Parts: sequence; C-alpha cells; structure tokens
Amino acid sequence: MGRTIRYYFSMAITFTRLSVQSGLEYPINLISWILVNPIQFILGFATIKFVIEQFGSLGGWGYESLAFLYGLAVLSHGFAVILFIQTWYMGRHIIHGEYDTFILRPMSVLFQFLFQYLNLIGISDLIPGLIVFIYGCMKVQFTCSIANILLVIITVIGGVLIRGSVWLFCGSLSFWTQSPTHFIDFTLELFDRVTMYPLSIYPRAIQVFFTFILPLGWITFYPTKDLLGLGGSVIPINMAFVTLGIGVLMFTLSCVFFNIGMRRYESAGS
Amino acid sequence: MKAYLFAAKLRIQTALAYRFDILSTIFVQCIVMFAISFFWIAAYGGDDSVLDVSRKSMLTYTTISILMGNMLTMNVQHRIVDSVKNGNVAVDMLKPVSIYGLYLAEDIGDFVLSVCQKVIPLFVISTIMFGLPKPSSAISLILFLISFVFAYFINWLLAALLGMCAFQTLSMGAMMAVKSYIIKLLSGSIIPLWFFPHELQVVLELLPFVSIYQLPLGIYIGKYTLDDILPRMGIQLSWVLILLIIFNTVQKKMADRVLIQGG
Amino acid sequence: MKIIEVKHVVKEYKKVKKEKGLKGAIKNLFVQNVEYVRAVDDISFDIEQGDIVAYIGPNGAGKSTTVKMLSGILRPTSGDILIDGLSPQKNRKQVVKNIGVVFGQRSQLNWDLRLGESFELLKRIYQIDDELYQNNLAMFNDILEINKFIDTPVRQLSLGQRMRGDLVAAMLHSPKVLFLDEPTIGLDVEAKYAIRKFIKEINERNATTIILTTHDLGDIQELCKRLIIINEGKIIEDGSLNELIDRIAPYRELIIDFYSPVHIPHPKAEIVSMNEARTVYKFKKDEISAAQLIEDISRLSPIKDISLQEAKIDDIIRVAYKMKA
Repeated sequence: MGRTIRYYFSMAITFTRLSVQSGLEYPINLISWILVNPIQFILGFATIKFVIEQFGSLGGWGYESLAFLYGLAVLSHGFAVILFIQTWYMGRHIIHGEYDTFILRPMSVLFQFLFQYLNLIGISDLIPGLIVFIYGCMKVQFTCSIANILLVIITVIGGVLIRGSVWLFCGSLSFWTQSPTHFIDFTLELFDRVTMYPLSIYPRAIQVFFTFILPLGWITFYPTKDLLGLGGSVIPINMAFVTLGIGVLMFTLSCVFFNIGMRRYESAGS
Repeated sequence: MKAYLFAAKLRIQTALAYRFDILSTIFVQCIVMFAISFFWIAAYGGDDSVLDVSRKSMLTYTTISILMGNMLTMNVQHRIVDSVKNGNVAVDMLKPVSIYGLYLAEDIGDFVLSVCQKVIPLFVISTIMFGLPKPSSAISLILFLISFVFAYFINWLLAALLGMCAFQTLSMGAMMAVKSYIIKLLSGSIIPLWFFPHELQVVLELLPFVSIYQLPLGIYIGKYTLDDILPRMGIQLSWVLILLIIFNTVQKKMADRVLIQGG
Repeated sequence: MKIIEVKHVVKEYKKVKKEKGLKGAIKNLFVQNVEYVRAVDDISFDIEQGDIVAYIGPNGAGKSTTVKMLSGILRPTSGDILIDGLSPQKNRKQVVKNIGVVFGQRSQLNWDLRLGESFELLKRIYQIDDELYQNNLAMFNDILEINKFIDTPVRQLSLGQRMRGDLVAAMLHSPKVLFLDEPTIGLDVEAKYAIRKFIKEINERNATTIILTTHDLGDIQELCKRLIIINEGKIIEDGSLNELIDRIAPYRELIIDFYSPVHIPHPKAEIVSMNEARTVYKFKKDEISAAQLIEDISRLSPIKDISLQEAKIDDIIRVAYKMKA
C-alpha cells in the first residue's frame, strides 16, 4: 500500500515535470495565452464593477465582498484548468483510441490520463485569478491569519475537486456518445454564473438546486459567506470543510463513472 | 448561385447529425439567459427604472441579445484558418466560385439552422419565463431588423479578417479568444455600455463592436429616439463599408501571396 | 510451453447505420438502425513460447481487433484469452508487464519530448531497474542505432526512426510477448531491414514470443515460422509457410533450353509448353526433386540452360485469402 502510494506520487512528479517541459517547447503559444486570457477576467470584473457602481449592491452583496467572491472563483477555476483541462478533450481522445496506450501500461488509466496531459497553459487562468483574489482580499480587508489562509486553501482544493469532477463526468459521457460532447462551454458558463455572483440573486428553487443537487454553490458562495462573516450559517462547522467533503465525494463518484466508461471503451473499441 | 445554395444545404445536413450538440447548446443558452436576467432583477432590486431603462426593457434586451448571439455564430474564421493550415488555400482559390462567397453561404446556412433549432425554442422558453420580449414599437422592430442585417455583416467581416490573420500569426487560438472576449464584453451584448463610465463609453462608441449588439438592441427596446437612431445607423453602415474595403484589400494581398508562394 | 491460449474468441461490434441525404439526416434524428458485425468469429489457437507468428489477412479481416483483444485493450464478446496463464482483461496490470505492443499507425512516444525522455518515463512507469534498463538500451542500440537520434524531439523524427523508437519503447521492460501491428508499414527498405533484424535478434537472444500482423510478405518470408491467416473474422489457415505453399501451389516449374527443338516427356513431370528449343515442365516437389528431373532429362538430350520457378508468394497468399474456413 505504502509502496503504491509512493510509486504514484513519484510518477505524478515525473509527469508534471514532463508536462512543463512539453509546454515550454511552444513558448509563443504559452506566452500568447498568458497575455490573452487575463483579458476576459479583468474585463469581466470591470463590467461587474460598473454595474455595482450604478446600482449600489447585488443581492445584498457590496462591491468589496463581490470582489473577494469573484477572485476566489477565478483562483479555483485556474487550478482546475491546470489539473483537469485534458478532460475537455476526452471525446477526441476516445474517438482516436488514445486510451489504448494507457491500457497497455501497468498503471491506473485515469491517473495516466489526468497527469500525462497536465497543461501549462492553465497558468494563464491562474495568474489573473491570483491578481483578482489578492485585490478582493485587500478590498474586503481580509485578515491573513494562518487559520484563514488554511481555510482558503481547503476551499480552493474542494472547489477544484468539484469543478474537476463535473468535467470528468461530462467528458466520460463520450464513452457512450462516441463523439466529442461540447460540454465545456456549458460547464464553464455554469461555473461562472454560479461561482462569480452570489447565489442569493437567483430564485429559491435554483438556490436549492445548486446547494443540494448539483452543489456548485459550495465552490465559492457558502465558504465566502463564512470567511467574510456574512452570516446565515445554520451548521456549526466551517463551510470550507463542507466544500472539501463534497469535492472528495463528487470526485470519487466521477472516478467510478470514468471506470464504468472505460469498460465500455474496452468493449466498443475505436 | 446553385453552388452557394448547395453549400448552405450541405451545412444544414452536417449540423443535423449532431443532435446532442443542439440540445446542449439550447441548455447552455438557457442558463446564460436565466443567469443574466436574474442578475438584472437582483441589480434593479426595488427600482423600476435606471438610466431611463425599465427592468422589463432590460430583460427584453437580455433575451434578444442571447437570441442574436445564436444567430451571429461565424464559422468563416475557422474555415479560413483550416484551409491555410491544410494547405488547401491554393486549391480553394482555383475553384470557379468565390471562396468567400461559399463561406458566407455556409454561415447563412448555419444562420437558418440556428433560427430553427435554437432561436425559436429559446424564444418560447424566455416568453414563458419572463414574458414576451416585445419591441417598443412597430417602427423600432423594422429598424432593428435593418440594423441587425448590418450587424451581421460587420460581425462576419470581422471574423473573416481575423481568419485571414492566420497568414501572419502562429497562435490563432489565442487571437480568436481575444476577439470573442472583446465582442462579449465591449459590444454591450451582456452589459449595455450606458452603465459604463462616461469616458469609456465615448471611446467604445467609436469602435465597430457597439454596432454589433448594442445598437440593434437599443433600437429594439426603444432606448434611442428616432433622431438618435438615424445617425447611429449611419455610423453602423459606414463600418460595414470600411470593413468591406479593408476585407477586399487584405483578400487581394492574400491571394497574391498564395499565388507567389504556392500556398 | 504455451504462452498464448485463445479459445473460441468472438468479438461483435454494434454499428449504427446512417441514412444519406437531407431527408436521411432528419430521419436519423429519430430512428437509429443498429446492426451487429462480427469482427472476430470464434477463433482458437495456441502459441508456443519463442515462436514468431505472422497473423495476416486482408484489410478488415479482424487482425487488429485480435491483437487488441490479446493485449487487453478490447474485451472479447465471448471466449477466453490467456497470456502466460493470465487473462489480460481480468489481470490487466500483471499481464501488461509481460507484453509489449507496437502499433505501426500510432506512437506511444511523447511527441514534444526528446526520444530518450520517453524511455526514461517508461523506465519509471514499469519500474525497470537501472542495470536491466542500461543493458537493454545498449543491446537495442547495437541493432537499431537509436543513440544517433535519442536526443531529438519525437515530432522531428522520420517515420523509420520513430518506429525504431517505438520498438525500443515496447521492449524496454523485457516483455515475454511482443505484439507488432503492421510494424513496417510505410517504411523504406533500410528501416524495414533494421526492424526485421531487431525482431530476429530479440527472438533469438531472449526467446521473446512475437506476433506480427503485416501486409508485407517480405516480413513473413524472413521472420515467421508460422502463419495464421484470418478472413472475415475466421481463421482459414494455420501452419508454416512451406506447408501452405505445398498445399496451395504444390507445383514448381522447370524451364529447359535444349540445343534444338526436341520432345522429351517424363513420367513425373507434365509438359506445360514447348516453344522452339524451350520446354517448360511442371512437377510436384514431393514426387520428384528438381535435381533428379534435370538428371533424367539431360540423359536423353543435352541441356543448354535451365531455370527453376517457385510459386510466387503473393499469388499464394492471394489464393489463400479467397479460401473459406
């Protein structure tokens, strides 16, 4: 058991190193994405700022809290993209039979898939994420205690797992459809809408849906409420831990779903 | 003409093969529509009217913007990039019909398809949710339609010009992303520019992006007075012409280059 | 010792039939015509350790499907496969340690990295110890001269170099069985030669069992003791190349030029044609040897020149492909 964990851990490091090396093979591509991608978040944030200046608040949230929420959302989005971007192209991988190579190696197929295609370009989402988040922290005068930093880290890990498991789940659908399912615009849009704005602006039914059925509200909304002391918490534990718990659970379910899909891949061929 | 009709028909046929995509697009668009609408409802809060635009008008603006977005999907940029990448560009230019005419025909094929498959269902859904997105008057509807045609051509020409930049640059993906961010955020498609700071508005009004979304939408909801509309549509039409001239020049240059270099 | 056992293996695919035209496209939205196709239809065979077996057949006969099932990529619809006593479907991780696979049409090498980097990665994945890794690399370098391009990014390699790299990648962990799916496809003469040499050498040195599918009959002639022919999912031939030749084309032709037109019959050879001083005889190998025939005839009339014609291998394979199981 310990041996297996050590093996997978060292392989994760090796794969990461190789991904960085491959990414650096195309410096122009990398640089142009790093220059371009922040535009959308900066512009997106600027438009929210304009609207709030015009209207005063949004669903009871002031500009400072919104900046913090937006920053946290982009931050977890950035990490999720680095770790899970390959799931966006699962349909193509499946149609072209690219899992064959993974099956032929004595190692978990999912692990190889997730780590072999780590994508450096995800940094282009992470950088603006950090900038907006730090800006939001300053605006809201967030106390940088160790406890608070840990809570932010736990929230981000949980949020990344929730996002990643949704992508892995949607990507795995291609095992059945045998075509690239263009879920990515759909999920990105959904994540943006639910994580960058307070969930409280939506009708009750939608809030319930994103809290219990597809728990995307936990990526940023509930933990931010706790972190900023905006109140309304019913349970005594910090929401950050709930986020992590939901993330782990959803990721486990998605892995199971992926493995069921792999069985289908093995019987359908390419 | 027959060749162009066939290209459009072929396009519809291919698209029909992807039913899953259509459903998922409708779904995505519904989410976007709901989200933006609730965003406005929350922003308006207790106010009925902000900057002379009522809450109801803002919801109509949002709905029509989403519907327009579905009609303004352009494939021409990808077509041009692909033909450069595959080295088909020289062959394409030898065809007896204008290659850009074919691309336009395909995009119009997509347009027709999109109206049937996405716009009509979305229209029905939004009517059920937020009420019929009525134009402010019959005249504004007519002017909107004219302005929309201009908007379509501005958008198409911008896409084609971007595609032709594939000759010059290596990283097309990033360039296309910039374009889509800019159109999304600076054309007033989501948030009208009248909510922006005044100085920024002045600058953005000078760019062609406003003509794609905000002008037709503003006309539709009756934000502009008739005296205001005509000069604005004049600017819009000038953009069509300016872009057409740029397009023609670039296209000729490109054709020469292909003939010299052999693609 | 049997290293591969295949018992009554069947593979069925579901195929969705699409109708043509605009009307068809609309119809496809509502109804789907599903059809089942048997790519592999009840095949059985065993392979002994250390054999080189050619698995051949026309396009679409089920070759690749079989190789994919043997290597664990595909799950058979029914039937059993054992590689060294284990099922590749049930014990994937153990079985793949014992096999190496090369697909001629696809590379397992990392496109953006130098070739050596892909080898290093495989060393870690398979947990190959340093000594074995270095020995193997040195041995493969002897035959394939990979050191010449080991520091080149894979995307810059020629097809032949890439194929050599893929062969090394598949053999680094010293598997007992090597599957090669069209390893020489599209390669030039030099690269083909190197690859055949490699296959022979690893088979001799390590007794590696090799199963290769190919369209290149040169591969078969040079490498394979045994030939399995599959067509329409069924095995139609299983034996040595010589046996096949004896059965399908048992005749050889002897062409004799005499000094003058003569008619010299022989009881064990049939005269096919006579043209001036040239006579063509057809005879069966197992009835009379060529040497005996020449000796008999030369006793009766002086011979100026002779030539012996074997049946052409591509003709034989073409005939074999037309046979039914």
